[in-house]
Amino acid sequence: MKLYCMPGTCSLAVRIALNEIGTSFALEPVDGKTKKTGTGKDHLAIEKPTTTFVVIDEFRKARP
Amino acid sequence: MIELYTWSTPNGRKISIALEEMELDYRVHPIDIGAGQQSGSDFIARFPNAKIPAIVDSETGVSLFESGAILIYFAERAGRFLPPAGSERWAVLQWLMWQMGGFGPMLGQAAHFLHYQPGKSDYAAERYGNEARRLYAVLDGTLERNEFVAGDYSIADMAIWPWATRFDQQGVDLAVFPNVRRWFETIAGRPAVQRGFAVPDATAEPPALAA
Repeated sequence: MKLYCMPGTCSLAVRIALNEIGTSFALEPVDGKTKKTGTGKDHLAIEKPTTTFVVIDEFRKARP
Repeated sequence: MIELYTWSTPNGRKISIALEEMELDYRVHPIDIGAGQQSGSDFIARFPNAKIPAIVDSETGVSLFESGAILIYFAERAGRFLPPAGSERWAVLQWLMWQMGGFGPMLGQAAHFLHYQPGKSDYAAERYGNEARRLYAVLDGTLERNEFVAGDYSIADMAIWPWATRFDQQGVDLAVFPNVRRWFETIAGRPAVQRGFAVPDATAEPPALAA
């Protein structure tokens, strides 16, 4: 599971929920101005419309 | 029996359409929001946000406001229009939340500044008009891939469609969004939708689209 996040946005709620559940997940920060992820990928190419967070797990991979 | 507190608005019609689609027994209590009836003490005592729609289920004792929560409640009660598990369920809830957070609040602001209070704020009219068109473009994209927003007809369509009936007030031309237009007419043709649209105003009909 990977959470695309940005400090101070709604993604905090999802991050808190994942921490409370105790599940393991990777965080990938997104720059709000450049729309680039921490690894340099274009966030807009990952998910349209642009959102402050996207959770990708198995069901999303199965659903184009 | 479901006691339904409603008025002739997009959020109100979501619920009457769902009740008709799911064939649940209900009784309508019109709340004239133009006359401020939602601010009456009896209504606020039960529904503190003072907004329609709201329901009371006399069989279960459940009392609810917020149209998205009501739609999920009905779908689970009737066992229809929301898959019980799996990726199909999350797709429906994703699009329901998209409507509750965007395709409703933003379209309401667009209609306010473009239709009801034109000329009051050019900045607000441009901001919400642009956001309205962006949201319709997102909807058009998913409807290019799917017949309905989450695959099969669901409570997500029932939530989104009543807001799309006000496209004219929102400054949106459906000719620009051919997939939305096709979906709009498919849903407008459903008898349950036509019955639900006419609650509580029995003379109301969905807008006919130009040929």
